[in-house]
Amino acid sequence: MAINFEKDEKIIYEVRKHWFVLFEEILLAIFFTLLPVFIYAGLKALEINFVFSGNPTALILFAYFLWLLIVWEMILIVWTDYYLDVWIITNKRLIDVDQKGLFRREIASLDLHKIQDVTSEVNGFVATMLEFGSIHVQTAGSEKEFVIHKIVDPNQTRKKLNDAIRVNTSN
Amino acid sequence: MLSSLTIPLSISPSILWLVFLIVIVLHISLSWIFVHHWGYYGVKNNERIFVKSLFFIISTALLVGMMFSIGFYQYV
Repeated sequence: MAINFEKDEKIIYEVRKHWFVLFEEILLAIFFTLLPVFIYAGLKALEINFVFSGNPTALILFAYFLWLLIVWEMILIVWTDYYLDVWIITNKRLIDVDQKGLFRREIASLDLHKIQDVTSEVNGFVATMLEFGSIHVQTAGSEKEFVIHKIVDPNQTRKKLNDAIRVNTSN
Repeated sequence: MLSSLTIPLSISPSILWLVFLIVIVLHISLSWIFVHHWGYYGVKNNERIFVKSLFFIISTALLVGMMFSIGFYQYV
């Protein structure tokens, strides 16, 4: 899994960004699948015609299949990026895995006993309706503040994190 | 009103086959990267099987479509 857990460390909760984040990207991909159709219609409207040496329909289909393959692979890159971008709450720490594209991955972890304050924020009509928002985790001293945006049900995640901190500090 | 413009395009089938070959090589490389990431970085087993199947079915269909298109361009 590429995250080294300690022997007695247990995963309590895993949380990702809301599916709406993915939905926005998929909408863009749908637009891209239709883009060649718009370009074709535009060329027709401007009366720009191409004369091909072979079967024109076959060539257009070849180009369109190639375009769809590129868009399809872009969708998979977006999904992989979305899925591997995760917050993991264990009984000992909070792990922030930040996947950026296919070739950049940052993993930061924070011991639960160092967390001072956890705040959640839901902002806007869509976020309120679909229950997504941000969580800010503040630590003592000058350590990095953990922030995750557009997370699923931030209040529930805050509660899970606070529960984990409480259990961790009482042990 | 604009006058119509006609652009002649002469593309030989061998160029299309070359493009297809390059696409196949790039696609295999990207597939390897996806499968590695999904396995190594922990996509859950049932989700991995679903996404992998979907990825290979759709990409294979598109590649087969490209191959048939070149065939039609060349022979029909």
